[in-house]
Amino acid sequence: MKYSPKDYALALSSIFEKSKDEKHLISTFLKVVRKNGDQKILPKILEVFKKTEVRKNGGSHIKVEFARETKEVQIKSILKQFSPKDWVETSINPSLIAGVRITLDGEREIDNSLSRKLHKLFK
Amino acid sequence: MSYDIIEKLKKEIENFKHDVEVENVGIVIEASDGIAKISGLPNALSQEILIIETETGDIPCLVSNLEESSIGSIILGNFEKVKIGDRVRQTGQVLSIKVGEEIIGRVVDPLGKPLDNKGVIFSADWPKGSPPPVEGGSSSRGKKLEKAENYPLEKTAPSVIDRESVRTPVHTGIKAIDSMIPIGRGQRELIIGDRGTGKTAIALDAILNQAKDIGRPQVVCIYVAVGQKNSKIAKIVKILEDAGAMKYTVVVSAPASAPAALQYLAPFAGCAIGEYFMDKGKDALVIYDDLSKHAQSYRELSLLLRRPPGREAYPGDIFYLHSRLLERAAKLSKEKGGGSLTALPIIETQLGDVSAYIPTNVISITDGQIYLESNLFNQGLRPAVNVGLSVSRVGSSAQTKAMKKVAGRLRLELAQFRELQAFVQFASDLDENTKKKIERGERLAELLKQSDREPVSFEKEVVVLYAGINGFMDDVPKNRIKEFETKFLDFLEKMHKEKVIATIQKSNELSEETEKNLVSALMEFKKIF
Repeated sequence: MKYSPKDYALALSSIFEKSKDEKHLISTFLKVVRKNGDQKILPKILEVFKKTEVRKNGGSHIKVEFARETKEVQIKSILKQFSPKDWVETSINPSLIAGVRITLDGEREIDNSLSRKLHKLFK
Repeated sequence: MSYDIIEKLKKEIENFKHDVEVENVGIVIEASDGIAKISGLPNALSQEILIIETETGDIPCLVSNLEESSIGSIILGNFEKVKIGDRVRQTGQVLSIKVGEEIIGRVVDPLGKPLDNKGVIFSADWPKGSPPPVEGGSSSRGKKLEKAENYPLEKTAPSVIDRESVRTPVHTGIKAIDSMIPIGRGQRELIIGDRGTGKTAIALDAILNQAKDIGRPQVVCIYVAVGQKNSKIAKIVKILEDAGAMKYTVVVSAPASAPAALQYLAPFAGCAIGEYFMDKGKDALVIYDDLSKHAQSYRELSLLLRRPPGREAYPGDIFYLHSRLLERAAKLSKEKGGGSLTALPIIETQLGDVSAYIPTNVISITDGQIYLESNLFNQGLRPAVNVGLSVSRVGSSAQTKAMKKVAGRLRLELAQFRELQAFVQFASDLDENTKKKIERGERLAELLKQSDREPVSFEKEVVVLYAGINGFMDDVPKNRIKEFETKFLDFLEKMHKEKVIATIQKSNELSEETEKNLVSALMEFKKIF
């Protein structure tokens, strides 16, 4: 039977709660993934696992995209707005042209980029 | 001119306000063969239109599967432009097509976009102050028109209370059908047969004949081409244009080259157009050519959406797909405007196998079927209708009194002829009565032969069939039956138009007096034939 990344992530998350030896747990988990020939989906498993852990702790997965390289101070001031429980990822996305876009749990977003404004203008 | 445009644009940019707000968003996580899997958008509705923002522009898609963690959607555009990571937004609208009187005479795709190079369909969509893009694009231009409305492709069928029984005929102009397998306005009559047996020809004749059917309200015809060759659709449009039938016809085209999504939506678009006219109190006739290809396109989409396959790999809801489409054909009650929507679905069988999955489904949904046989077609009997296997369950109540008078005996005579047909080769050993019956039957079968694109108006059908069943053709050689028919109709038109043809046309009856006039006209004609 083939396991989905979600199956792996949920299994790992529930074992994590009980186990104390994290190193041993991770190595055995990787062995199981390898045995099933599912190494290719490891990045997806990791992403789902992160989301699950963040949600379990009451936080959100937040993606912050900047149009170009931004000063460290500015990034910090934005990141300060979020709770420590949140998992915040930052990246550079030149297709935004200018501005910033923040996505919450891949479901809701605040888009203050120039590309969105232009899109709305010429709609 | 360019200065004006720039100034206008400047103003628009100056006045543009963008409020930052939290929006629901989805992300494409899988895209293949016209299907996109989307994560996010937890509030998406089934059958809602979503917009995929691709690098080259917005592409709409239709929500089809609502799953635990993702949405399966059908892309309604160029799916090759959609890539993983594209953002998806909700519109809050279900799929609909803009319909108005101006759509008559046009060739459109299932989303309502014109395909006939006649420009924008609705006058409300023309740029302000500019003349219509092409003169004469729509037959209705210049008249006072009702406002165009958006009609949803998926709609619940009229309820029992809103309906009335079928009582007005839709004359196809084909003698065999109008007399023995009558169709009423609001009925669903299946046309079924192998490839190349003349299914489309019957449907086309039905459209062409609507111009000739005087005395009843004009029927608006909608021809839906699903998975047909582009060349065939172009030929059909040309035939309709040449015959002047595009004045009351709309063609919805989803050819074989169109994505499966559009082929799946085409019959629903045609039905929505028909419903618009039905709701306005008019009569509409919609032809689905054909539902076998429609079922195949739905199977393709369902398998790509990973829905479990059933018999012949069709999904479990294939019956419901066709039943909900055909249930929308109805004759509305007076309170609802009294309009009607007649449906003529077409099914192509493989080697005459009517017991396959889709044919049996559609046979059970419809109110009867016109069964065409390749054997009859090859024998030269055209239309190749197998009168024994064809049936119309409700049409007889819509038949005119004049037609009823001749049709009852015609059916009986032909049934007796079929029984005796096996003895034709022993003709010399048969008694006089049987011989006569066989000869009458052969002449009637000859009389029912008809070339395509030559529909006969109802009153002419009545007089010709009257002559046949009352023995006025018994002494006419079989090879001269066609000539007798043509010349007799010509004679009636010139000599007895008012007393016979016009009277039947007006009253829809064959009264004793008209019958007397018809008999004397027949006697008179036989002297000169």
